[in-house]
Amino acid sequence: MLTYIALRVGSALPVAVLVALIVFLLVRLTPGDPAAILAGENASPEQLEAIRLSLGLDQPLHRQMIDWAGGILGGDFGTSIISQVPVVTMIGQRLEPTLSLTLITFCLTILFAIPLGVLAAWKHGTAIDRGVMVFSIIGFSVPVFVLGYTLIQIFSIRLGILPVQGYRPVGEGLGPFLYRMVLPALTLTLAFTALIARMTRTSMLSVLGEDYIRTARAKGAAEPRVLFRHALKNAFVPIVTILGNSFALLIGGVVVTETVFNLPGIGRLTVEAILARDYPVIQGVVLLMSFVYLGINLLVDIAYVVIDPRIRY
Amino acid sequence: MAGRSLSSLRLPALPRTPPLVGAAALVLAAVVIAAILAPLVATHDPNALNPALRFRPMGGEHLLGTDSFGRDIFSRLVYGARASLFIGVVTAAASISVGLLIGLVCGYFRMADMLLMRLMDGLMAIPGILLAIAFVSLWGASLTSVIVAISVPEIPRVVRLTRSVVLATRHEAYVEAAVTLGTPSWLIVRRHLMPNTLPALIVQSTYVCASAIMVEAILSFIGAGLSSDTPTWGNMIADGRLYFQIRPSIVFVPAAVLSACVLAMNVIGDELRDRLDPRLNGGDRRVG
Repeated sequence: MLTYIALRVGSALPVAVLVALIVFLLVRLTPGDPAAILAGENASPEQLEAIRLSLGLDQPLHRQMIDWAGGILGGDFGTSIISQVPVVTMIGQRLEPTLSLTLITFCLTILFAIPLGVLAAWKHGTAIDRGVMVFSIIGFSVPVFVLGYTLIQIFSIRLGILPVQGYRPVGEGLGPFLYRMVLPALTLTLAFTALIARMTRTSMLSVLGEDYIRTARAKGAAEPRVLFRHALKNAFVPIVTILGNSFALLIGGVVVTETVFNLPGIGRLTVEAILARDYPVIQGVVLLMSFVYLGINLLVDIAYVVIDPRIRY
Repeated sequence: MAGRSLSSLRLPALPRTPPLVGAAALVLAAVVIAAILAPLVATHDPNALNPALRFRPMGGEHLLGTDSFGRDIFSRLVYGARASLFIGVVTAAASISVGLLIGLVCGYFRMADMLLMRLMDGLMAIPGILLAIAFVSLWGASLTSVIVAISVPEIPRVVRLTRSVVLATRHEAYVEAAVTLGTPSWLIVRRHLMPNTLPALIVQSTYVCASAIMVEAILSFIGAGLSSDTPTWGNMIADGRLYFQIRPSIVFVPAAVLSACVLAMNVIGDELRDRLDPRLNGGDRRVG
C-alpha cells in the first residue's frame, strides 16, 4: 500500500509542475504586450512598469521561469499590483468564508444527494425515479446565481426571515454566522445535490445489477440492508471520486455564490481582482486552487486503497 | 464488419417522444428562430437608451418592460439569444473539433499519447471557470477571447472521450484487417476509427453547448464577460442585480430564459445519449 501511495504522489507531482507551467505560459503567450492589456487604456508609464515588474516581465524568459518556479517552491504565489500584499496572505485573509461555505455545502450535499440517488436507483423506472431525475436536470441547468436570487426573493424579500446578504465570522458567535450562511449554503447545495444525486443513481444502478445483490436478496436480506450494506458500500468508490472531481465545479459555484451573497471569500477576491485588473491575484488564485484540487483528488485516490480491500497495487 | 458508418447514426424510431423532450425541442426551436430573425422579432433597438422610460412594468408598448437605462427587455432578450447561441455553438464546434483531432492522435499514435495526455491532465487540473477568468482578464473581453476561454477547459474531456473510443476499437478485427492490407494510418483513423467516436461526440457537443451558454452568463455576471452594453443574457442579469430589490423581473426574466435554454439542451443531450450511444448509459456493449 505504501508503494502505491508513493507512486500516486509521484504521479501527481508532474501534473502540478505542468499546471504551474501552463499558468506561467498563459501570460507569456498573450499576444502583444500583456502589461499594456492588463493596465488598461488609461495607464501611466509608471503603472505599466509596476505590472511588468510584479509579473517579472522585464526579465528574459528563462530567468522568469526560474524565478517563477523558485517563488512557488518557497510559497510565493505573486504579489498584488494594487495593495502590494502577497497573494498567499490575501487568500489567507479570505479563507474562512470560502472554507465554511464549501464544507457546509459538501456535508449537506452528501446528506441529501446520496439518499436521493439511492432512492432513485432503488425505485428505478418509477415516478419517484423520474421525479429525482427531473429535479436533478433542472438543478444543474439553472445557473447558481439564478438559484441564489430566487432564494433571496422567497426567503429574504417575501418572507423576510433571512438576511439578503452579508457575512459574520464564526468567531462572533455561531448563531449570527449560521443565520447568514443558510441561504448561500442552500443555494450551492441545491445545485450540487442535483449533480451528485444523478451520479449516485448511475453508480447504484450498475451495482444493483450485480450477482451478489441477487444473492443477498435470495438469502432473504432485508431491502434496506441490501441497499445500504451491500450496494451503497460498493457504489461508494465511484461516488467519492465524483465528489473529488466535482471540486472544480464547486469552485465556480463558490465564485458566483460569494458574489450574489456578498461573502468576503476567495471567490469575491477573484471578482474584485478582475474588476481591478489585478492579474497577479487571479494568477495566484488559479494556481493555488488547482493545487488544492490536485491534492483533494490525490487524497481521494489514496482513500480508496484504505477503504476498499479489493483495490490492491 | 465495417465501422459504424455515418448512415447508421440515424435515430432509431422510438415508440414515443417523452413530453419533456418535446417541450425542450420547442424551447430550442423558439430560441433559434429568435436568434436568427432577431431584427424582425425584436420590437425595439436593443441598445436604445430612454431615461424617461426606466423600469417600465411588463405589458403595453414594452412587452417585458424596460431596464434601468430604459432599454426594451424583450428586444435585448432576443439579441441576447443571438450572442448566447453563437457562443454556445462555436464553443461546441471548436472544442469538439480540436479535442477530436488530439484524441485521435492520442488513441492511435502511442508516442504522442504520453505527452499530449499529460498536457491534458495539467489543463484538467485547473478548475475550468478559473482558467476562463484568467484567459479573459489577460486577453481582454472580446467575443473571440470569451469563446477561447470557454472552449479550452472543455477540450481535455473531449480528448479523453475520443481516445477511449479509439482505444476500444483499434483492436477490432476490421481495423487489424485494414492494417494488414497496408492501409495508410490516416485513412484508418479517418475511415474506421473516427466514425465510431461520432455518437459520443454528438452527445457531448450538446452538453458543451449548454455549459458554454451557462459559463458565458457566469463570466458576464462576475464582470469578466463581453462589455456590459452588449446584449447578452448574462449581462442583463448582471445589470439587473443592482435593482433586484426594486424590480426583480429585470433579473428573473433573462434568468428564466437562460435556464430554460440550458435545460432544453441538457434534456435533448440526455435523449440523444439514450438513443445514439447506449454504451454511455451503461447499456449493452454492442458495437456495430
